Amino acid sequence: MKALLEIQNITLGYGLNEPILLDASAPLKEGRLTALLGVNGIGKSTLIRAMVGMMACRSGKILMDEKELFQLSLADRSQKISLVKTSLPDLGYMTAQDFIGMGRHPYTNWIGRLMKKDQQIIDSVIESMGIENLALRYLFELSDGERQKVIVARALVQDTPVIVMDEPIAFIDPVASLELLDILKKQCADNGKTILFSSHDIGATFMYADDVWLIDNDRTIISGTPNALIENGSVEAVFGKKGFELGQNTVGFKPC
Amino acid sequence: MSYPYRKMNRKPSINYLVILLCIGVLVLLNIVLGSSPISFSEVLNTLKGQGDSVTSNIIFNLRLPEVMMAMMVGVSLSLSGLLMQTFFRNPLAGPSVLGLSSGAGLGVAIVMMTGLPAMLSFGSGLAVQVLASAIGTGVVLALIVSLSRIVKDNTSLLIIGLMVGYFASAVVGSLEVFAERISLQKFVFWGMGSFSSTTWREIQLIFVILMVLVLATLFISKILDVYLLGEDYPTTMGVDIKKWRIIIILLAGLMTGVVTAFAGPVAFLGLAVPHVARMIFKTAKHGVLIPGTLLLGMMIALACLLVSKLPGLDFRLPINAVTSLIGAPVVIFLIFKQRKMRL
Repeated sequence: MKALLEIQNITLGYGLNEPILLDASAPLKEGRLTALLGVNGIGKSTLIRAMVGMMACRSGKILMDEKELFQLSLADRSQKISLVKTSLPDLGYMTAQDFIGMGRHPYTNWIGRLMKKDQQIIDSVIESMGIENLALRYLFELSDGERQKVIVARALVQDTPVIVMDEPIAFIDPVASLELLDILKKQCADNGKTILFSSHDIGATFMYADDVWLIDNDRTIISGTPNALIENGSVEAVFGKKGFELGQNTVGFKPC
Repeated sequence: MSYPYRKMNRKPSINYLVILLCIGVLVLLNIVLGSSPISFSEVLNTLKGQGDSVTSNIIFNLRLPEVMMAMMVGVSLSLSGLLMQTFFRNPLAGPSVLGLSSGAGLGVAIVMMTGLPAMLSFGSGLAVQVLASAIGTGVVLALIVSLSRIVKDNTSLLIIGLMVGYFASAVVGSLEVFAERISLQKFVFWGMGSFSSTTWREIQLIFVILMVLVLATLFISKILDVYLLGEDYPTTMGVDIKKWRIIIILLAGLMTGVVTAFAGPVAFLGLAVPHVARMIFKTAKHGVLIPGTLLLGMMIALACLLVSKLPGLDFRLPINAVTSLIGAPVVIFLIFKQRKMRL
């Protein structure tokens, strides 16, 4: 399968500190839901920041359609890759619908006017995510899970082939997490989106992810399908600790 | 449509109309009321060119310039406050809070009390005063912005802004000791804030500058919306934050600087008006908030002018006292309200 986006031998770090990622490479395959896994503080968010151009790589490159991502203009990039984060600043009287509509900014005119086509895209995303009931509400009125769906909807409305998400399921309860992952999976399968999301929730992630990027203790990335990574012991090597083993029949929700 | 969102697009135009109406009424009241009251019919006659020369002198050379000045101060400080609140993503940012007014004050104090313009052989000193005020504002704003790169937390930044303000005031206080009496008096009056004693020439000048700044602000309303989302989103939405940062700072600084040079450091308008606009228009979109803030700024400044005339014929409250009397409770109210709106 074709890699739509690919990181090649990238090294990342802040200032003169030890690198956070060292010579990491991994492909992001088109139309697949890929999970970025690793223990807390290993550098998942840093990698995501680098992938959206918020920090420069010390070395290596990020390729999009075999072209270097950061040689594209900011405007072009905004039509290739969009971002989802967990938190939002205080946006006052911003309705969910206004917020989602902001995803059209790369396409609208100087005053940000939404045209018929923009409105159609917004409507179809809102409907496909089943969040019609949230559209009119202010963001501060929503629960964490509802707000996360709205944040994802904004990225979908931006209509980019690739979406990267920083911890989209970190602060929402187990079933809401599965719901959201289900939405993401459908976006990949039905609409051909390519999505990378970071998480440290192995259970939920492995139920839905097609591929996994695992940041290991050598600060590099092991990529593969979930099953492959479990079978070759990588998952246990990264997350395991003496006295704990990867469970087979642990309690948790699953789709049925 | 399977969900009721079109209904949501409540037209803000009714709000605009009501505010415009209030502005009209306030303009009239401000022309009528003053140290020598003029009746409505006299005003009408004068506007038709049939009034006596004393009345028309009062209307055209005292009341109208004052009304114009009030509206322009209202517009520029309020928009400046809106820009700063968006820029710092901080509801308590504003020209008077972040030390900008004090910066302008320092600039003006240096010009007024050290006799610098005379030394540099400038004619009127007025251009120098405007320049000094704008530079003073700009320097403080630049300082705050560079500190904001290091200090990420908004509350700390506000406290730093307040401290910068105190620092500037302390320098001004020290200058006052050495100043001549006349220039000191002039400066003290300037510091109390006033919409009066401006000439039509000055008003024309400020008007032209403001028009450019206001249009520029409207022009970047889409950018400002994206700015609300924090540092990461704009970059992924095709907005170059570094480039726009400078433009936003320049706009906010110039708007505060220009009117402060003439009207003095008018407190609270810049902080409070954008919040009133948000509460009335119930939106976060700058395309609606900018015109709303602009109109409300006019309206509230005119109301303050009216209140300042209330004590009677011979006395006037300083504008700063009036704006603070109204502004301070508004800010406290906002803090309480904000607690319920936290994400």
